[in-house]
Amino acid sequence: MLKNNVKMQKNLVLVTFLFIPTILISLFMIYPLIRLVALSFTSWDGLSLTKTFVGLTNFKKIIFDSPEVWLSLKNNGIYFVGHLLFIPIELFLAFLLDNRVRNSKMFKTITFLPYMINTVAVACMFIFLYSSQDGVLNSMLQFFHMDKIGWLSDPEIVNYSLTGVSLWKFSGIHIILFLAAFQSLPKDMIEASIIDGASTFKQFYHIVLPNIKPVVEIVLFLNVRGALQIFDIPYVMTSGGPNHASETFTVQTINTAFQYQNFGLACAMAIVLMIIIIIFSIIQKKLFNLKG
Amino acid sequence: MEANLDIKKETTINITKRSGSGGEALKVLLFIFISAIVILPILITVFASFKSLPQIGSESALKPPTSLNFENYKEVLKSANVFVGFKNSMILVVASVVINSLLSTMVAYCLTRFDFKLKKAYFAIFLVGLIIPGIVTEISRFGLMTNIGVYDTLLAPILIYAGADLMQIYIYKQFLEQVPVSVDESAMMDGASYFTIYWRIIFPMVIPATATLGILKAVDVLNDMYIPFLYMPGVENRTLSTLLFNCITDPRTSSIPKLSAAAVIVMIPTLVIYFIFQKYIFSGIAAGAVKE
Amino acid sequence: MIKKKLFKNLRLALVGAALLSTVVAGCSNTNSTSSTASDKKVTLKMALWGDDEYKYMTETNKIADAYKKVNPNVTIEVEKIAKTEYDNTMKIRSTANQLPDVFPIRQANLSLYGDTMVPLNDLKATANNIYAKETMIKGNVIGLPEAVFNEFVFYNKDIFKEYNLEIPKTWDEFIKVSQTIKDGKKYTPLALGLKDSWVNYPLNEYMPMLEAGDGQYYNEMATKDDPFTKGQPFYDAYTKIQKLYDAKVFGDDPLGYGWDQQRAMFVAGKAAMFAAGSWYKSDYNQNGGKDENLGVFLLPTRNTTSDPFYTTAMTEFFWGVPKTSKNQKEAKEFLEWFFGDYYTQLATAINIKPTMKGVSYNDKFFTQAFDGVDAKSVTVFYDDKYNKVKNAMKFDVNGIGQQMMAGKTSLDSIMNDLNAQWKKARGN
Repeated sequence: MLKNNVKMQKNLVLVTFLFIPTILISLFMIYPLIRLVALSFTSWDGLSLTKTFVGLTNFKKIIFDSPEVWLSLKNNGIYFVGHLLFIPIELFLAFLLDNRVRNSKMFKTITFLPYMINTVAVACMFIFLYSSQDGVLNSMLQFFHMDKIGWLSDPEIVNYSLTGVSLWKFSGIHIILFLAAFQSLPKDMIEASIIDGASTFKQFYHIVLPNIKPVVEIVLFLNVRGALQIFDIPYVMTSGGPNHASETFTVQTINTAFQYQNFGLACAMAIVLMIIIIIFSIIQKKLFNLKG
Repeated sequence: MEANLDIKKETTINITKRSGSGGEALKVLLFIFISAIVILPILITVFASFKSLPQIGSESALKPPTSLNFENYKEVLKSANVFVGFKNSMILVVASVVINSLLSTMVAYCLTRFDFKLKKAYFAIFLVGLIIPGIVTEISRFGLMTNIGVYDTLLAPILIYAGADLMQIYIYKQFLEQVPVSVDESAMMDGASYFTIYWRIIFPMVIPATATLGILKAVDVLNDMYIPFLYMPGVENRTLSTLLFNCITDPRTSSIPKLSAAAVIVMIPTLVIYFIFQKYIFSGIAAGAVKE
Repeated sequence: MIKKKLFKNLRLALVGAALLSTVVAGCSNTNSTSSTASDKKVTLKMALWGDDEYKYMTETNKIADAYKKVNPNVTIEVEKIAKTEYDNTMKIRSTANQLPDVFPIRQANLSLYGDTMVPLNDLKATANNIYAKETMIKGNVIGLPEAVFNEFVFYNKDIFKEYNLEIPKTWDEFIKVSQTIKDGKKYTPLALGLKDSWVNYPLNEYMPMLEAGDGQYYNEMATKDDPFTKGQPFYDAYTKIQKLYDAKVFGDDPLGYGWDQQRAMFVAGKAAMFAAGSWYKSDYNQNGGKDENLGVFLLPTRNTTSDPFYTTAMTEFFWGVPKTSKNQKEAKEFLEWFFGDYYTQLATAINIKPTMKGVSYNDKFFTQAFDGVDAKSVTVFYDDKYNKVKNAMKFDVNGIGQQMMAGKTSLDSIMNDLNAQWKKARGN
């Protein structure tokens, strides 16, 4: 009798609590996704009333006949590796910010500041910094009698410059997540190690790190997603230039859809990207768990 | 509670003092370096906002403005109704953050405390939500918004922002998993319903996480341009970020100095929110007393 | 205890705030619904991207008020959409049948809208439009162009005086002028912020047309398999462009600065020349540029002074009515009216070169560019066939410009590549 009541109550809670979130996600995520899949089999230009079914043509075109799409993935890779290399640094900074550095309050504020700023505003700031005409970085190089660098004009460098912007903006959010993880750790655990006389580094490596594995995992996943979907920084700062050198997968997708009027192909590209993200995340998770 | 926290702070400070002065200086230096990197681009933008276009074209961006020339700010304020933008942005932020934190805590509660059929599938749906590529799906979403009659109203972006996302659910889950189920059970024994447990125990418990996630959501909403731009073309529905967007594309304001002024204007509310609430991001988590 | 109470209050406040903001958001919904047709009052929604037009229509000479006097039942609502997002926005709205009743189409997209727009063939305004018949899609006039833009080279008169320079009449003279300024080591000869690839459109997009003396040359190219071969206009034009790029007259690193800095350099007097359409003039003035040392000439792309001098005329802002509009009749009537007296005033006020017969245009500033040269103007137009090839191979002349500037690939290999891709794209 009582048990039945509890079970009914449980179902009631599930239904009422999950009703609205489910509706929202089905309407604004799942339904568009289904349409995306459907459109990926057409040659629709995004405007005309007729949508011609073309089977797997779009996918074939992406896989076998679009070297530029795959080259752009290499640029995504630069963002991915850049952020990946920064994760240990971010972890360490978060660890220090967890009351292990003087004025940590002030430094916390400053460290997270970039994440608060509008991406377009960030892009504008860095355009001044990187500009070849009176750009700040090149003036500094000149001051030290070094050669100027084509931060945004050299195809070999532009992606690294843009990754720098991405790091500037997004490192803060990783640090917040890590810090949240550190602060949710039981304090006595760390205190005990301090009494044992463990150094900061030892505390970090042996006691803290193993305990925040889940957060590291989610940051790693967010990194795969973020790096593969990166779009606004190259789009606003270089519009993918010079000569497509800084185009990322998503920039190409958007150009295919809107500039080159091939919406069906763009939908197929979006699906390919989703599959790549899933594959990457799984591989990364496997590797991470192997090591951990 | 408060006093307790203070004591803790005291001890950490003592610890840091004890742990050697050389290392400490190095740590501080490291953070001063990071602060410089963070502040430099912002500083340049603030400088530029006080200069004229010919000055931008002829002097170094690092050179502080010779006078506080508010011409650019006046021009931006004249060309855009900042107050309407501010009001709309605030409505979006408050509504989205509140609804979003209620919804995502509910989902997290259901997913951590109950076992039900399709639980894994439900998780997967949210995972899909996280990796679904934006913009290309916007065409389907747009049709939907117009069909349900919210196009060009503030409700359209609220509906999109309000939905729970996987990262939030994940972080709440981390929090909730540290709250022993025995707490729920003893409440249950006292005759509390699941609803009461959620509202009286679970929700207060995760308020620290809500503070962090809420601020991040607020920043995302404040800085998002594309969704308000696309779904609310009406002049009366402009937000701060769409105002900035218009400044970029309007030749009257798209020059570097005016754009910088616009960027600064848009940055201010975000930073005010950040500076007011930042202590909840940082100390909130620690004070959350998850281990209680 | 206190903590508990605080949480309770906080929770109540949260719920209250949520309800309140939803209500507020809901309320602002109500005032945007348009009036119904039952009382025959009609609201025509109009969208555009031009800033000068928008300012004129909403501030200087309010179009809604002006049209109310003629047709009291029709209310005009004007909406401005950011220039860079205009095309995407219209496309997305089109899929949800949310296109405004009247709006301009960008010429580059005209063929895309072939099935979407109401034919305007029988309008009086169409008959009076000089260019409407030249820009038909599938035999129909689907949009009436509002303005014609010519391309110019703006120059700083003081700098030209300082170096005793004459206005160049041929391509070699143009390069020589740039070279002289470069040798002076004081100014950037030609500001070209190639970080934003589109800024080279007067060169990379238009010069093949000038070389061919045909504004529809790209359409012609779409009928050939290898239009990038040596001796063809495209190849010859690009050889000339490469020569200019190789002269390195754009500052240290043109790929490293953008349109913003390009304008800043020119306004600040640090750059001597600036290639852009007539639309740039108002931008120059708005940013503090002074008229007295601003000069203008037509980009001379010919080899010798005995060759014909071509210049481009680009028609833009193709006003049309979508088939999804519920007020097609009213929208067409509105267009008839719009291209009458109101248009004459608009064209004069914002100083655009008119497209309508009988509307006079006497802009002293730009006419000086035509003095002394017998310039033949070619009307730029891209048809469906060309757009198909372009989209299939993602043909991007401005990107090629960046590649040429980088100078790492030889022109011949770029052209060979293009030939191969072009042929393939045509095959599909």
